[in-house]
Amino acid sequence: MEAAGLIQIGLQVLPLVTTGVTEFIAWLEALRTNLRQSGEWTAEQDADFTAKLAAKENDPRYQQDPPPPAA
Amino acid sequence: MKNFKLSRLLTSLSGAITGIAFGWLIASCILTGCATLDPNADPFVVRTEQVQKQADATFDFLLGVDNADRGFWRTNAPALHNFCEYLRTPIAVSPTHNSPRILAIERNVQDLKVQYKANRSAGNSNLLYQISSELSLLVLQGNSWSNIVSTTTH
Repeated sequence: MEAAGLIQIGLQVLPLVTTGVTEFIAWLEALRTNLRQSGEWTAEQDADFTAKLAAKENDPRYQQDPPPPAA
Repeated sequence: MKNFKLSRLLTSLSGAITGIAFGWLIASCILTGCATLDPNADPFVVRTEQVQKQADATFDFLLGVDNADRGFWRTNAPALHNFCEYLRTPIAVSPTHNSPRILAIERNVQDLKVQYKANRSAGNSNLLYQISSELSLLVLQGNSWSNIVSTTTH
């Protein structure tokens, strides 16, 4: 499974990380949690995930660059 | 003489114990992929949900890094910035609503998965497989960028 490989790579490159250290660790942690999943999500978890995706539509990280000013 | 041997034995034992403890720590970080699948769980659904969670974490991280200083990445790593902009491009998800491309794809996977869970037919599984494979490819590309942009290059 590629997530397990990614965790190994992530742990190896962790000392070299210079940008977004906290986010990088959060990303690694998310991969680890992901691998521990043993069953299907419940209906509530599905609803939470859908709501989370909807909320991200206004997240600045997901917005395109503004168009360049007209010359 | 006996005490000397005992102290040597203890020294070597303490080294071994430290080694075992350190190995256990590393193993606990790495060997997390051994979760046993619930016998009632559909492996296809679980795999799709793992891809969804991975996509969620990967794109939050990658787009967050790019968003922290878009000008810098646009100039110094245009390929990364273009990939992020590709993910952000609004696409129509309904006649009246546009959504960033990656969120539209994630939403599509989620909707198809819920549909499949309600009716586990071959037709539904084919559709879900198709769209989750597309998401999986984007995640792989996103993961590669995540490792590149977060590490030093000198």
